[in-house]
Amino acid sequence: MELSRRDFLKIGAAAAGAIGVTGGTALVTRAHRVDRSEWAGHRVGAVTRVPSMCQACSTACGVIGTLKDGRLISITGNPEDPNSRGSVCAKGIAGPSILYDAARIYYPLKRTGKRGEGKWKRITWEQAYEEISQRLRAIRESGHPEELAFLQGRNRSTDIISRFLNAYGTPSHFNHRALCSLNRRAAMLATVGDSDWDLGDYENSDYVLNFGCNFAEAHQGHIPTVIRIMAGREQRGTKIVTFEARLSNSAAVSDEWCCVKPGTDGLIALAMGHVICSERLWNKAWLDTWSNYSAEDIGKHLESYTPELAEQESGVPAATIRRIAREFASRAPRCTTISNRGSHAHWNGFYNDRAIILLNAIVGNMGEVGGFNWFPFESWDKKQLPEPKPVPPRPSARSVIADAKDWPLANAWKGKAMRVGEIVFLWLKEKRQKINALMSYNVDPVWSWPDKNLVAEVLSDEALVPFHVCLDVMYSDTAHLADIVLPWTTWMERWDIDSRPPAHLIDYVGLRQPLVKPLGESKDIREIFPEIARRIGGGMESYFPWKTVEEYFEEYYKPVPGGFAYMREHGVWQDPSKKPNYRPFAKKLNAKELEGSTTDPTTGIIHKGEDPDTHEPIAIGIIIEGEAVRGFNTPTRKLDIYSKFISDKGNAAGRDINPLPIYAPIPDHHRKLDGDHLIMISFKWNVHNAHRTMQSKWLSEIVHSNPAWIHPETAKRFGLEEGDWAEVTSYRPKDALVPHGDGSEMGRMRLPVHITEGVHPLVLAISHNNGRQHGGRVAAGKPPTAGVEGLGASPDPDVDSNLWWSREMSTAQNSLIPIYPDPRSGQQAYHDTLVTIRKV
Amino acid sequence: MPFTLDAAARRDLYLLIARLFREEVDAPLYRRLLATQSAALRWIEPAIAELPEERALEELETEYCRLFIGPNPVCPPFASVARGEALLGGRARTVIDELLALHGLTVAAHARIASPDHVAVVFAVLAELSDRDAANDCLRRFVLPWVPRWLSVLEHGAERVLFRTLAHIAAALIEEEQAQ
Repeated sequence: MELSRRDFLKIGAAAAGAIGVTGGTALVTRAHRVDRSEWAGHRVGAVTRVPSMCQACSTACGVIGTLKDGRLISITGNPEDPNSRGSVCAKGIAGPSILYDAARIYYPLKRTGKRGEGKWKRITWEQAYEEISQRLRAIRESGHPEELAFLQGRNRSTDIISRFLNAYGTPSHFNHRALCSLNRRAAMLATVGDSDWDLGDYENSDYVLNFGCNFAEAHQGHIPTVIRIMAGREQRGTKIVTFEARLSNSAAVSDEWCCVKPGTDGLIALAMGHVICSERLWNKAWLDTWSNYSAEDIGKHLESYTPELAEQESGVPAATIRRIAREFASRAPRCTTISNRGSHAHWNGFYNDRAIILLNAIVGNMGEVGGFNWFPFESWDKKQLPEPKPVPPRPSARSVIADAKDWPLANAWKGKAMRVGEIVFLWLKEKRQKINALMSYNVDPVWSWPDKNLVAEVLSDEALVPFHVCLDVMYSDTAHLADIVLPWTTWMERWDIDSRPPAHLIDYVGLRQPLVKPLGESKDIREIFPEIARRIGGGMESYFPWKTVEEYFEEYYKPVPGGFAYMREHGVWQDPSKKPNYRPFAKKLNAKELEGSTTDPTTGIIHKGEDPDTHEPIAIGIIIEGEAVRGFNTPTRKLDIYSKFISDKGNAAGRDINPLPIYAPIPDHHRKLDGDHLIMISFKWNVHNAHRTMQSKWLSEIVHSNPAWIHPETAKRFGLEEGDWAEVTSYRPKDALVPHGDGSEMGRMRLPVHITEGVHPLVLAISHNNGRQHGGRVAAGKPPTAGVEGLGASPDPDVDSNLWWSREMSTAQNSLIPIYPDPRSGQQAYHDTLVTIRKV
Repeated sequence: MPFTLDAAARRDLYLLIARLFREEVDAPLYRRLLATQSAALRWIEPAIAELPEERALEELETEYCRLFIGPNPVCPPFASVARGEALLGGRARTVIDELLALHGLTVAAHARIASPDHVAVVFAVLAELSDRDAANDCLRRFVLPWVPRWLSVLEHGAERVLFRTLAHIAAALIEEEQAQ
């Protein structure tokens, strides 16, 4: 007999009484205690405003969080930030939608099924700490600390992560630099000697020549760069000319867009140099003074790089190249280039960016107001604000994958190890190095790494990766292949000391501080790593003597007038005595700096002291025109147009690296093909960044699908019309210098096409920020599952459940992209993949 | 119509429901659930009960995670999500905050819930409300707009008897409250 609901209820109530759940474990209590944590901030009426720093991308703009009743209601820019000047992009503004994302990971999870099966249980932090520290302690005590590998994406907590890994003793610290800006940095280090990236003085410039930099959407210094370029244009009428294979939003806001074949930017720069040198529009005096290669020698080197050759290779008319070259030179020194992944994420990208730097040198705009500039360090002044002691030494163990010796420039510069991230999983598969544990942090290589299917294959294999801990804000395709997932805080819930290369050429320091308490049981790495270190013991704990994160930052910010309290109040500090870093090479050395120095009579290089590791003398400057000056931070203390250093590094590794900036045609783009091949490039949108934004309803509503852009003439050739579906087949390069470069088929994908004249006829352009499988319904763009069908049903387009775009196509381009490093540096050639297409 | 349950029984039942929604079943609770089940009221199916206790608990923990924690939970246990708000703990949280304040209640600091608009809080509050008008007000303002529908989804989405029974009892109790 089936019981009535009433009868059933009675039985249930009797059982409840017998079970006896008492008030001792009550979820709500009568003790009326409202937790009013005292966050730093200004009370304005009913709201509190707290300064901090964004990390929706890596630009780290100063922001102000506005809170009402303890809830974050908006993000705006912090006007006190000298780099971002109160501007913030859509990704930052969308912060609340990421903070309060219902699909976030709020608790530590441990898998209960097979790896990748998707079965989990919630565990406590105590359980997580114990399991992780036991595994890591065993590896460390085995004498092979390098068998702990740490893979990070955008890391703005560099101090604490290096502290942990160095204290542990592992050099297996991998990042995504080779998938991002390696070639740009390598070109700067080889030629100028300083890094990070170049910082054109755009707002004081009359002419900005852009080689493939999507500054309005995707530059690493996005907001500080674009606000200055636009300020220059509004206030000075700066002319902006963009060379790019696709009509990006940056190309669209330029005065001219020259559509180029991918990988030919460097040749165009060399051809412009050819015009400027041959027409004597150069700054010969500057070159002969500051360059290690004379003006005449440069002119000779450029003789063969004619505009006609550039036209033949790039598709840009020779007359246009000549005109722009003359315009550029005529505005010197108030002219500058800007470049980024469009020029350097190629097989020949290192040479391309060397050529672009050379173009600046030829017109003598280097370090000038309105010219091509740079900064000696990539964050705050670490001599002024040093890391609190004790600081662990660098590991003595070696890691084959971290060393990546096949690519001689990846780790060539001391203190600037850049790694070759895209080969990590391939080399694990090939068993070039054993690992016993992997920690992945703020990275989703199963989705964002080239040959993503290989990454998934390796992470699924417990023989290759015996233990995988994933730390992230949201569940990702990579978390899906972890053993333990730790819930990381969003940037709105954590602490960091941070700053970026200053577009205004004066260093500064910022504070990222919690706008709200961490939601659920999420924790930051600054809490997790010290705790794991203490549990591993063996001396590691001695490097984490601070009881709280606040205590650590009290010490860190001591040199700032007003200290930590000032930082919490303002979010940023800049030393008012510092001046913009114009013409750093011409800075005279003072008597104190010269005290105890020696000067090489042949080269004029001034040395003082010796390197504690190599015991070689340390160069601090050079004699120029009888004056002791800093010079460039290169081996010759001049602008290294001719770099013996890179050539020697190449020779040592058996790789030919030309000491001069040259054009090296991409072999795969020049081999004999059947005529149906296109070059597939990748691009980013202004509302997305890596794997961290697609879960935002506010952002994904704007960009959520990625059809393939194709030129009308090309589309006609393949019989394609707008919205038609095409099958794209990609190929590994046929190139002995590329791992597995056998020209074989790489992958296939079906997607609709978007026909536009805003793309080169030889190009198929697909955006990168799509095609996630995990991370919640919004991230994956999925309709409600059967289980929740009807929940939240509403005609209101603003409700979470209403993903009106859920039927639109969104694909992960990285299943088509092979591992494709620049043979010299290891930079992933994201824009060189050959594909064929057919209508389906 | 007289209420089916006396005040103590009603409170016990609400507390049990709140407890089962709040977090995973632990060993003592598992044993008591086994001890109190009957032919008419089944908490644990034989396939689970036959497993060693540790394995049985892990099966229930995995199901709890699949249903309520995620990744991508079948039944996110939050009013804000169920009501289609774009942000966790949005307008729905304001309502529950007001309710808690009205009755001088606060969510325990140790609670493993990401936001106070969690379904367990709803039942825990109802357990505290012996006053009929207060209970009715709570039902009208916070429970009826989303909980019955959510329980229906849970009952259909659950793969373990424990959560189907839980959904069934909770729905019956709300029905009973409405009938008063």
